[in-house]
Amino acid sequence: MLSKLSFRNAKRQARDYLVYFITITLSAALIYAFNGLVVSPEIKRLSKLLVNLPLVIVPASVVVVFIIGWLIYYTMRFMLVRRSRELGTYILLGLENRQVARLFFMENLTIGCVALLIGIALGNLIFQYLRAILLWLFHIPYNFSLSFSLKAVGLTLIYFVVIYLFALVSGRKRIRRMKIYDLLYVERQNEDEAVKKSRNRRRMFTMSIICGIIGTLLLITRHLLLCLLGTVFIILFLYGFFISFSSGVPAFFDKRPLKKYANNNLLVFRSLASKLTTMGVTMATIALLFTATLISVGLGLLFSNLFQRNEVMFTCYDLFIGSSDVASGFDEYKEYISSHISVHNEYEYYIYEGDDDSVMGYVESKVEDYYRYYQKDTLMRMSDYLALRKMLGYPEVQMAPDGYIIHCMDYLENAMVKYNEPLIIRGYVLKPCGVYAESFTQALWDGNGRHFILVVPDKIVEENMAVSKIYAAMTNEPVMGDVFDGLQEIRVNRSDDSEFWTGVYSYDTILASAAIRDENATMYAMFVFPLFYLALVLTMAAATILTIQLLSDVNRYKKQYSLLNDLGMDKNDMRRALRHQFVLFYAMPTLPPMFICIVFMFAMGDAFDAGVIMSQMHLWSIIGTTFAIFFAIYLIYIAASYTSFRRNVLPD
Amino acid sequence: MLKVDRVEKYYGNRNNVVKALDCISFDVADSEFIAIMGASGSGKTTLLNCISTIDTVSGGNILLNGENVTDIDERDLARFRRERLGFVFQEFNLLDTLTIEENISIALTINHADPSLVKERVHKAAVQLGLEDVLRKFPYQVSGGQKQRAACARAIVNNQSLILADEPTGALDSKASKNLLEIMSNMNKEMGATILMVTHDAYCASYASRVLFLKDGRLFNELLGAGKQRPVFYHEILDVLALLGGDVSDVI
Repeated sequence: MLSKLSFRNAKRQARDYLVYFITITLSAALIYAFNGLVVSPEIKRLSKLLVNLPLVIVPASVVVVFIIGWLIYYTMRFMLVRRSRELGTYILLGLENRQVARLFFMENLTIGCVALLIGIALGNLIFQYLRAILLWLFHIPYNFSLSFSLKAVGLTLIYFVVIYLFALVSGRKRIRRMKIYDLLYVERQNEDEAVKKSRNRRRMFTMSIICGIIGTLLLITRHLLLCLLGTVFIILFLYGFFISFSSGVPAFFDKRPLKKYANNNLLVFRSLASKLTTMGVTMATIALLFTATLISVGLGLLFSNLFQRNEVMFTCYDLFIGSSDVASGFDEYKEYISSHISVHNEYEYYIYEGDDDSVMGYVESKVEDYYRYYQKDTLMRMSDYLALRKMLGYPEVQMAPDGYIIHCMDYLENAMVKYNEPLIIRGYVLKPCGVYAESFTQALWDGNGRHFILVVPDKIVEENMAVSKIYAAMTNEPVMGDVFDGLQEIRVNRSDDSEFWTGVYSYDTILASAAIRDENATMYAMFVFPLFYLALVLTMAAATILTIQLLSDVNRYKKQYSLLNDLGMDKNDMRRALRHQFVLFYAMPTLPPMFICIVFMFAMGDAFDAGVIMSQMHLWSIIGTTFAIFFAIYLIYIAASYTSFRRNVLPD
Repeated sequence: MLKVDRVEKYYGNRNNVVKALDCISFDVADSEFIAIMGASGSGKTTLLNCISTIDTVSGGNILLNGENVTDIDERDLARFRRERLGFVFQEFNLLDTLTIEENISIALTINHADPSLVKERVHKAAVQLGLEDVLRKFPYQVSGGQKQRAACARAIVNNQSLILADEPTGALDSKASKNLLEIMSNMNKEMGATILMVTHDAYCASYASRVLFLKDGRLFNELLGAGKQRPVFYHEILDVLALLGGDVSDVI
């Protein structure tokens, strides 16, 4: 009978907790999907490096467990407050605290179990999606096959048991300690804290802003210790800011009565301030989660960009071998290649040193973090260039006999087009004949120049010194795995006898597009997947807590708007005020994180090699995408709660 | 100023009609303080709700300064309420997130009053009602009497033509009640506010200049307090209540 009653009560409040239920379900789905990757033998077979995937997914799952545990604990505490009168009545009727506690937890456990079941079913679909991405990254055709992994279910179940144990134990203590009076009048307890005005809070507000500025400045230094210190300052800023914000706002408006009494400002800022006073710590925690989310998404996108760029930047050939030891040939390699790799096109050529560094100087003046490897510009013979373009399938180019061509990485193209200076080599004056920017193995030092190369007529370089020798090949099958390892072995053996004539490097460079793709796909799975996994769960958990907070206040808002209606407030004004309250409530915890994220992304963007981030616009587009992804999820929650809120709060 | 003309109000469906107000007519002059008394269910709050346009009438007319309230378009009702009427409720109905000052000012801001004049007008009303010291406090930090005075200030701050009070002393102790009634009486006499007050309490009604008695939705009796001393008027009211019967007699 009692369970029936409790079930009915829980059902009546389903409106408020639907968002919570959906979040738990989706979290279960995500946990299942990502752990599905860890246990899937098919994924493990993709690359040897992927055996390390559990090392990132499992710790990420542990963080998820904490976050979801916190969410459940928080929601239970809320339900407890909302239903305290009901629970108090049970105790008044003679039930023991223990029984009530058990009843309450059985309800929550039921919700958890249903969420887990639906979540696992849904998780299968998400797993398929992740699998499809991975296979696409490894250039393997994808076939839809619904697989059901018992291991993944087991793992998800373990995580969920831990989550619920964590939440239940802490909640249970709460109920057991409660007295009838507390339960019946639990709503009154909050009111004491509603507004505590003090000068300390205002001081705290100023201090928090200072902490925020210091923290941001420390983050930009990119020095590990200072960054850690910066993070501490940022955390201090977020907590200080949200705890003291409620005192700062009224002070701000008190000094500006014109703003205060205009439109609906009074209603909007007061309801926001009062909400922050009672939930400053929660708001700060949510802002912290959002900061982590934005940084995770941003980093994920930066890495994803890095790995994609690596594929384009590192080599355009199926197989590339570069050596600074120009005297010795590639005999060992070629012997190995002829017996192990089927090659359909190959070419050997030299890279030469120019007379001066005029073009490099120009690049340095345009690209802040360009690191010059050679002291002078690097040159390539026109005949080699034409042969290589043909081999790579690039369109044919023409050059005047007294001209030169610049071939550079795509990010330099705009700057190079503007370079119109003649090139002078051993007395010959060459005029510019165009700039090309197809992928051309230019990211490293011993490829086709460092980030750019000057293509000149053959006769001009005859007497110039060759700085490296290159073997390039297009193969019928991808060069990767053991075949690639075999080449690496030769490289290591060769390096032992090589002359260290520059003292800077001693190894040949071997690049294979397939191996690079493989490595990047693995890195993608290892870095980008866990970051997005965390970001998704963090956003959902935080948005849920905000939504539950707001929906639990429906009755208070309803009373407020019904009074305003009686006093004759315009319906449109009411709608507008409610919308403003809503927008501010949801925007507040996102603004500081967005600011921190922008600063962080710029600091990170600088940390990459020149060329990975093509321009400021490119970085802004990554930041924009980060925000877009975040708000796409966040807006779903906002829209859901706004619809329900408006329906329930505004008078007919 | 206010003319209530044969107002009727029915509730329920075709098979079960409850007549809450049955052909009620009376006039309220400018600067008059009128109390409406009656037992629970006699229709006094319904009448107040109809006058305040929160509820609609089934028949009859209500004219405020010549304007027929029952004809006002649904969309203009809110404007009518905020411009012409002031409300004082039994449960104070202050917004708990706003300070007393802001609660009073809300009547002006929803009227799109000039923001530069708001503070001044709120202060003026607060001084008249003795609220200067609590302006910066929140409703939960002040006493019930102060809350109700704040509600009165909200009702007069915009120079509303008619103040409608529903059991204003219902949630106050006797001392605070007396204080509030004196203030309302002052508002009526010194500031010329027209007040229509619904009450259970004979003592409360004795502050009015005229008392209307409702029974089962009809106007049962009317008492004029003009020229009488309050104790005398109070006893006259009690006599009518005794005649009225019902649960109001339990009050006596």
